[in-house]
Amino acid sequence: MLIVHTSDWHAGRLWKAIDRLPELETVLENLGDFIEHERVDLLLMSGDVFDTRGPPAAAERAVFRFFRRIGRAGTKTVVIAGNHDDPLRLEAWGTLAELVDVTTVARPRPADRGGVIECQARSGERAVIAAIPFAKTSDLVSASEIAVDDTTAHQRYAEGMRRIVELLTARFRTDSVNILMAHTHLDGATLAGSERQVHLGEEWAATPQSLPSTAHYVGLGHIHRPQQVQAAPSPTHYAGSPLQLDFGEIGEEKSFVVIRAEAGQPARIERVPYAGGKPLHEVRMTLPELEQQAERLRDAGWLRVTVPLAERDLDLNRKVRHLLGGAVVSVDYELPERTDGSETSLSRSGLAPVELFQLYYRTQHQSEAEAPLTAAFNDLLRTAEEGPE
Amino acid sequence: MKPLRLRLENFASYRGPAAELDFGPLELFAIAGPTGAGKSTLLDAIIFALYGATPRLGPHPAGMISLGADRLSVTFDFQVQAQRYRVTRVARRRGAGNALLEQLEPDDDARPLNEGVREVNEAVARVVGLSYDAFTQAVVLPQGDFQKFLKSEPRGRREILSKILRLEIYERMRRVASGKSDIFAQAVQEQERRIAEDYAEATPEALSGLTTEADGLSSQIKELSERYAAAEARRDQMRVAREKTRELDQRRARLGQLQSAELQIRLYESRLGAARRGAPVLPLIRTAKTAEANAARANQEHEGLLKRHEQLGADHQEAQGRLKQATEEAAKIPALDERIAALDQVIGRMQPRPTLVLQLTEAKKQKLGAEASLKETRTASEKAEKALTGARLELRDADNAFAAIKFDGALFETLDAAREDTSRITNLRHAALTSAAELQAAAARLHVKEAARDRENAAADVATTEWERASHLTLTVDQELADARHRDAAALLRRQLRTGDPCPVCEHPVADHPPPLPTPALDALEKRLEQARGAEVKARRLLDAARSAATTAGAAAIAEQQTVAGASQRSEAAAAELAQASEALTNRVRGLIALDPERNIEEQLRDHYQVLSAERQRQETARAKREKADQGVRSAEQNEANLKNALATADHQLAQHDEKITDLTRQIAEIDEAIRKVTQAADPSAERMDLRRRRDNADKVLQQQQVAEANAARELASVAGRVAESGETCQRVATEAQRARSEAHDAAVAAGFADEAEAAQAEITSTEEQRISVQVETHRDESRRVQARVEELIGELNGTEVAEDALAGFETAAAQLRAELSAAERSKAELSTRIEILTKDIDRGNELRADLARQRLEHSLYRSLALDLRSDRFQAFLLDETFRELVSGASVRLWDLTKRYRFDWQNEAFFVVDHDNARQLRSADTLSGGETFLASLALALQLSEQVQKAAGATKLDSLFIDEGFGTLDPEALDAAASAIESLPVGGRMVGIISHIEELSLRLPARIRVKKGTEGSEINVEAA
Repeated sequence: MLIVHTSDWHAGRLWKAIDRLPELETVLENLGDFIEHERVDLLLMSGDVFDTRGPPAAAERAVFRFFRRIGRAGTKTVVIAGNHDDPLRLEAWGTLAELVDVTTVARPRPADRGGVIECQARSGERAVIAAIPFAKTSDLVSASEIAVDDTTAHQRYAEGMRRIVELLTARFRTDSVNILMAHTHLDGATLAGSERQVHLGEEWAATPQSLPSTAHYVGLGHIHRPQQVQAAPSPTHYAGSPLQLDFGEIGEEKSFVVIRAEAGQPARIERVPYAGGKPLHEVRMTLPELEQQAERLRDAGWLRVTVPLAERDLDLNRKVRHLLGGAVVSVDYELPERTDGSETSLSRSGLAPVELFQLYYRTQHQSEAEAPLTAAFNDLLRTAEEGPE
Repeated sequence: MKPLRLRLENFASYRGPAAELDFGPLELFAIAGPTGAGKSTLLDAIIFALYGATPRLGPHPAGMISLGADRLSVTFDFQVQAQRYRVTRVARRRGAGNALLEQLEPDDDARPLNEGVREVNEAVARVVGLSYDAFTQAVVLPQGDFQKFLKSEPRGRREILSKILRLEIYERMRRVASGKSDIFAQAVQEQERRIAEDYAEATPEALSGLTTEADGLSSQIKELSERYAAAEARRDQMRVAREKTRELDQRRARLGQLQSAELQIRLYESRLGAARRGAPVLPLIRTAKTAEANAARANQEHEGLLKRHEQLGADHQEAQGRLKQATEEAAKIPALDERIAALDQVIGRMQPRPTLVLQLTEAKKQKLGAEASLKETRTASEKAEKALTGARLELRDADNAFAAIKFDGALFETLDAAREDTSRITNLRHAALTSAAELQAAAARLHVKEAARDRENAAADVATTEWERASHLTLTVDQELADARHRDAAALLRRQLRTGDPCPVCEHPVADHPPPLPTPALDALEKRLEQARGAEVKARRLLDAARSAATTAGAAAIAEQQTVAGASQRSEAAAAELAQASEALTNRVRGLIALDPERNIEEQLRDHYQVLSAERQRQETARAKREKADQGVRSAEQNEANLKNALATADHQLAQHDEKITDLTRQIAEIDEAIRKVTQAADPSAERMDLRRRRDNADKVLQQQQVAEANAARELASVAGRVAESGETCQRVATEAQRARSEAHDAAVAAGFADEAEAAQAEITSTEEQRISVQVETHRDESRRVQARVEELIGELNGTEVAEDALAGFETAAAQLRAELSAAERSKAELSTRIEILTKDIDRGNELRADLARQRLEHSLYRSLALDLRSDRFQAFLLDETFRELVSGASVRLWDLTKRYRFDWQNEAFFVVDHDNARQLRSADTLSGGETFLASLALALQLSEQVQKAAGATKLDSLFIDEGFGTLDPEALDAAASAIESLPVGGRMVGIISHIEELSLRLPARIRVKKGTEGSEINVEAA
């Protein structure tokens, strides 16, 4: 059975006022070619199909066209909801997408009510897919537990995920290809930086130990950096996003996962790069250098340009944009570092009044406030607070 | 300020019955709902409850009252630190409103604090720690005012900050410091005066003078002490000698007393001697007495035994009698046993009898049942035979009836198949009739129209003739007129002459106008011509109309002709089709049925079919009847056979029952005969039981009596033995008693007494003996000791006995020296006290001087503090720092939100730095809506967090953000939502008002507001 794992399309994402949809469309076009050419049996899409709960129509059209194309080519698809997807909406279009063999799972479900999907490849091989869409913190941990203690709540969250995994993967069969799909943050995974915080803090994560050892493959979504989770007991991958979504991902090669699996055999896994996304670049050059390389840079992708300057140039923005055109996303400059200490930012948040006074004294009198003085200050403060208005 | 509970009545869109909102479990939440549902109104209500005004409506409560209501009321519970408060406000359309501030006790009891609008306004500002302006900019960020802090004037910002930071407490501190500085100045003065006045003489020099004086006194005391010690020693010697002298006198007196008691002591000694001699005799006397008592007791016992022996003899005789009787009874046992055995045999035979009787009864009952059922079966069998005969008759009738019916099945089939054709022919005939009728109607219409056409043509011909005649008349009259004109040419010419014009005939100018000539014929002709022309025109018009009518009628006739032709064609076609179909059908049934060529074939077929159908129906009915009858016969035959079988079986069973009854009766009779041979008793079992009991009883009694007799014999023998034994014992004991008595007597004589009675008299008790011997011993001892002490004392004194008077002299001398010494020591103590006081005074003086120094220090300390706490120093520094940090913190937040903008400030004005556009500086006023929102949010969040952290400042326990989200593009909205979602809540309440579902769904809880029929409704949707 030949399986492809993709994730985190974020269709309809606006990034610094740039519409990334045309790139995604190209990516999907190429992915569709691959799927048709290789006669892929099963496509796993592990969440964040769209970037927002109400995506633009063009984004919906691109995604649905892709599904229609591969569905007609005989490839089955399983889609789970990510934290960006609206579960209700996913459920809604999922009912129609069934017509082109797309199964959607919008929210965590019991195994016998859609949480575990069984499907058959062209060759007749069977696959069992345990699907865990994104679960809100509040689905697994009560508000009061969050309020009481972060550590307990964190454990509860991880424990909740572990139990869901356990319940669903109990349906795995020895005569099938067994797959787990989930949209979650996993302890120890490396973030790309463009992910939206899923919970009230990134410490809300499932642990790799809660993943099953019985799966041929575990396909995860949410993290944009493609990576294998080494700590997991089965082959576990984040497919990552098909596009470099922010400057934190410069240089990352975005790829999808191709899995060849047979019942009772370990799966063979390889990564195939996506084609069609524009790369992001961090360019650090002087104006003359920029001028020299303008031709090349114009078509290199999306650029963040930082220009080292000897002194401020009020016209810099215009000059750079004139040279490089629409490829420029951001223009900034660097001045030689000054060491006059003007940036001695005193952090006075949370300081007691007397400490503030000591700071003041140091600044005002260039000497330390001595003990009798600070004691007197504290006395006064107490008197003033207790005394009448 | 942390909201706990809000209750609204007739507040703006919250019309009608009170709406309640419990903030209790909420931390980070959205207030969600469609635009205009009343989300912002909730904030208005909170602000109004606290301050009596709202940013949207100002201090005009009437504007907040719901339409159609006269008064509104708002109750708001909130918490500041640990204390809970309740503020209630009522406003009316007319007349003054009122307000009440209460403090809520832990048990929810409310204790009023202030009443009246103004008082409550002030009290709330004090309790919350924020003025209305500060509150609406730091706690509630309301619609439209959201960016006020960002864009307001530096001074306004300064004021807000200083209120939030509670800078007035530093002002208060300054005042206290300044007051303290004054107090210390006064204290210093006072201290200086006191030291100068009170501690001038307390010097070390004065102290040293006193010390020298004290040393002199000390040596004087030493000398006196030595002398006094010597005198004391002498006096003590004299005291000892005097004591010994007195003792010696006492001892001598005591010795005299002891010597006079000597006689009595000797008497005691002789009495003790007698007692000691008699002591060995005493046990012998006691032994003799015991032996005598023993002898008496033995005699008594012997008498008792003799009596007992006699009694037992009688008992034994009685037992022997009873045994004999029992033995006789036992001799009858074998006879009884024999009888029992015989009965046992009978009882054995009897055992099966009750079962047999029961079986007999049962068999009889069964026989009765079998007879009854046999009878029943026989009746049924007869009935079945009759039924069978009936059924056979019925079947024959049905067969006959079926055979009687003639039904041509093949014909029916053919007709049935032809039915479709029949109905088609009916339709065709109908169509043919219809089209024929149509043709007829069309022909009739054509006839009418042709008549009309002919009529119109005739009329046209008449009109033509008329017109030709009129035309001819006109021509004739015209000719006549021309002739007449010719005749009357001169008259005509004359009519045209004008004076001065040339004459048309002679060309000479007409000199004067001749009078017109009369032309009566011409005039008449002209009139006739006009009439004729009129008649001609009229005729012509009539002719035209007639011709047109004729043409129309002709066209109508032609059209009708076409219709007729069409109808005729259709009619013919229909007739042809009908004929064809009829013929085909006729051919199909030809030879099967007789056809009447006069009648329609389909009707004839239909009639035939109906007849056949009826026959077929009848035949079906007859067949069904026959089958039913056939079935009846078969079931009756079956029934009869069954019953015959049953009859045979029942007969057989009855015979079996008879046999069984005979057998059982015989068995029972045999058993009864056997019993009668053995016993006449009604119940042999009971008889046997009785016999058995009698036999067992005799046996048991015999055994009992044997045992009783043996026991009596044994007891008798035992007592006889004991009687002999006791006689011997009596004799032995008497001898022993005699011997003991003589031994006692001998011993008493040997001890020096007359007889044993005297020896017994000399006995004294051991207590008495002890007392007397102690008395004797004590006396001897004391005499010896006193004698020895007297001799010792005489030796010690050695002749120097001292009298009382001699001692008194020495005592007096010692006492005098003692008094002198005491006086000297008192003087010394006085001097020491003076030295001590002086030393203390010196120390105190020193202390006061140190104190003075300290007070001087404090004074300068508070003076400098008062200076530093001035508003232009420490307070200004704080504001500056706060602002600086606010900007840098907000800058970080803004960067996190946008990854594009940072804050900067110059001259207390905000700027936004655009890092995507070469750090373009943009004033806050030029930002777009979305950017302004994000910048304000960053600033507000930072402000709120900073204030939260700042020690000593008003605690902002809650933050409400209203709107601004509607203006955001998706990217900015995502940024804002992420920022809010990840707010460090930390016990603070954060409420976001938004009508955007995407945002509200991302928060853990929601207050849903919707517009109901009555007014706005609130619904809390927790996480």
